[in-house]
Amino acid sequence: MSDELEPRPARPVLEVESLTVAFGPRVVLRDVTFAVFPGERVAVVGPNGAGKSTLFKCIAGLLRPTHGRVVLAPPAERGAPALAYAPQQEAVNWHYPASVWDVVMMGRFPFYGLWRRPGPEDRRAVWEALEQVGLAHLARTPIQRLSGGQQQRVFLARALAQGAPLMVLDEPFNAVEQGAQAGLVEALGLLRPRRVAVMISTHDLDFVAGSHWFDRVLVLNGRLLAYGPPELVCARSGGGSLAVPWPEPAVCGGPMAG
Amino acid sequence: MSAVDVFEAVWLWLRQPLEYGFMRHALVAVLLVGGVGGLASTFTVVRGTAFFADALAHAVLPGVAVAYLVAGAGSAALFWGALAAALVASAAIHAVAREGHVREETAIGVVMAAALALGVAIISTRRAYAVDLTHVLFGDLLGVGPADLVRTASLAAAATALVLVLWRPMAIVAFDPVLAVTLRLPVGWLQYALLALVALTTVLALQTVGATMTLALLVTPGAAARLVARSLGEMAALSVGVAVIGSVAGLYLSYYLSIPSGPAIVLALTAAFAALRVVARR
Repeated sequence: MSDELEPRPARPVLEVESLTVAFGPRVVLRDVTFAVFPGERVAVVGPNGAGKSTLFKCIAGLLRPTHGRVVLAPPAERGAPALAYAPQQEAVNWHYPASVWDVVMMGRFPFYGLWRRPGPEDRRAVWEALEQVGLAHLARTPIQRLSGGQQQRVFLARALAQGAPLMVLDEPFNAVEQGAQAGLVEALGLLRPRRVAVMISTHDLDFVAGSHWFDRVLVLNGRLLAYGPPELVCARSGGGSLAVPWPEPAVCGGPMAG
Repeated sequence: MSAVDVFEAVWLWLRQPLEYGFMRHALVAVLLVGGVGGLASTFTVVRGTAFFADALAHAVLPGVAVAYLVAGAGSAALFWGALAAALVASAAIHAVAREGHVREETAIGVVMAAALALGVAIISTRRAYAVDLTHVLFGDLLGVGPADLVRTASLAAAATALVLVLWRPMAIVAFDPVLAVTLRLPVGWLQYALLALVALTTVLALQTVGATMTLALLVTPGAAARLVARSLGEMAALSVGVAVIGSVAGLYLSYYLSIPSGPAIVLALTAAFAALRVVARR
């Protein structure tokens, strides 16, 4: 199982075209254009208020853009959603009475629907997802007893079980304890062999610049400042880490460049 | 006293109030309303919308007042007036929150205060209201007639069917609305359905516990069930059980202690909550 990214195929899993979002007179995102291809790992970085969450909400369909559009590739598997989105942890009521298993099974709803009980396929998908993120032993545990890192992995398992070709994770490392980040990254590594693309917003610039884990870095501050391989994007800002304020606009590589 | 004697004494104690027709009607009414209340309170508790539920109970007042002006004191007219007011108030809260750019909690406060004031203003134009209004505020369980029971039973059946059919999507919306959106569920409609469930419970509960204490039926059973339940299904089943048992116990308390049924039911529900708290701690 190679970890190398194959050459970019013709069809992107996500296309964002001239995306502009304004709340009244306040423009949060201006004319953002980029594409993500199957299996890619994209880091979205930028200072607080740069529009990272707004971008993610537009991609997930939670927010309607003022201008421009978001095009998602149809999923390969029938019934699967076009994307799986894990919000920042505070967005969910963790005091809800449900087990880890129940929450992951919610992601399978489109497969079993209103009338049928979850079938063997659904149970297998949930079980596999839990094993992959290392939570199988906690399947019956009420979610309120989980640690921050475990909660994040529940989201990840749910996204895996959904069989979506794109996974969008908003600040997944925020509530994760020191040391647990490595486990989460390892679980995310399983996505590439399945050709699942993943977009992650993060503050951890050292990780983005230093780990060689991401294929692309998207630098955002109200508009798209840079999008390309970490070596190129990070080199432009000088040194191994990205400095704030951000450098002049630069889009490196990718079919949407220029 | 032998076990048989105790059993017979309890049986007599339970049966004796039911010699009266009005008590039999009241018993059926609290069973039905308790069942719907148990379902509705499950969602009120997991979604944290107790303030909304309380506001709705008070917001029915102008509807009741207008119905009284137009159609007199018949319980059917008051019921439909209350239901209309509850739906208008829900829509108003939604509109104020969105158009007024304020938090939903603030919008609830604004609408609830306005509705209460409007109700009192309408009522004050007539003098003879006092008694009928008391029934709305504190319940009129002993005035439940066969026609009320038919109406309550059909609406309770409709509400239960709605929850059973939409159970899974409702459970998803209550836990993670964002997931619901990405799964392309009709989130708006599901939220309206949950709102309608609360509105319907509020209006049905007017007769049994009254507007001032509807909140207890919409919060306490769910809160009690949450203490021990491990899944939403378990919680709903337990919540219905607590609401039904608490309502029936309250009815008997009301009969034997000669206190109004509304407070008796609320106190019985609270006792159930306390009992489950003790069980949960162990």
